Amino acid sequence: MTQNINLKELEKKAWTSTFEDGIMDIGIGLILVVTTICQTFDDARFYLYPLFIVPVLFITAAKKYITTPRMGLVKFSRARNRKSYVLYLIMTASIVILLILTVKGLFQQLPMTPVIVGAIVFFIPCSIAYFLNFDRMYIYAILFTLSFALNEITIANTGVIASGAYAWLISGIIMIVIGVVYLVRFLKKYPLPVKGVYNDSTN
Amino acid sequence: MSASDSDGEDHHPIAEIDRLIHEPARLMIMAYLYVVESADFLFLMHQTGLTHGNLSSHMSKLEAAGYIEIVKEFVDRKPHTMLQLTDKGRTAFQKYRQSMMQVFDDLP
Repeated sequence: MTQNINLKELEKKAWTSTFEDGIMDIGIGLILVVTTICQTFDDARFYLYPLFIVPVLFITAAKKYITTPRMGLVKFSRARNRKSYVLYLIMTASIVILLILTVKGLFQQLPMTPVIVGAIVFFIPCSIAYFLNFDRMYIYAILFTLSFALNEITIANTGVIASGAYAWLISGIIMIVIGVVYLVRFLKKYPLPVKGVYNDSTN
Repeated sequence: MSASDSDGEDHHPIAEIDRLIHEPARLMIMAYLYVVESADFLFLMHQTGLTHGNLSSHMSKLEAAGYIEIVKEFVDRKPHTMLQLTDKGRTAFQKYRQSMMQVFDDLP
């Protein structure tokens, strides 16, 4: 039993080490910054939506050019991959539900719309935290929800959609700062190895 | 290489313990490769905290025993060397775990 627990811990340690680089934190922070831009320029939001590709490109490129060369490459077990698939399924389902409710105009008919959306805003990052063992995401889930609440309250008071955008920006900047701190620590802990040295023994 | 091979008739759980795996550094390498599908040399070096020379030496022993294998694959169209447990290595590790648990279970 003890052996089982230790092996699970070992796998978790290897898995969570992939979040030491702070790239995900910066990427999610960038998503909130783009959300701020889209909400600030509400009239042009459809032209600004492609900006959401920037955080995705950042995460992909940073993992490829910063993390992997320093930390090495690992492929995790099928059980771990299954967890990721469940997460994708939950996230897709949540987004589809939100889209259906928005497109069909059902949000206007529901009495507790902000509470429902707020719950979904809290639920998605919590799912990420749970299924990916990405514990910082629980804190971000609270930040997301607070930003959403602040955004809704500001819009309700001013009647201007753009006025609530700052709420997302605050959370985004907090996440980016945390991510940068992790990234700096990561770069110090894992310096770039001399090219070819580490493959000699395995060739 | 296992203890049972050298001791011949002795079937006590302690005698069943695979000495090749029992060495702490190699046990750590085996444990890491047991919980992931495959990993490269650099990742294992960081996770185990072993130096390049140490890891390399232990890897050679485990590879010679047929416990790990080197897999060449292409990552982003570049050749990359990955390490993984063989079926023999996986079985040996499971057997080692059982033997160890049995040893401690048998203690008064």
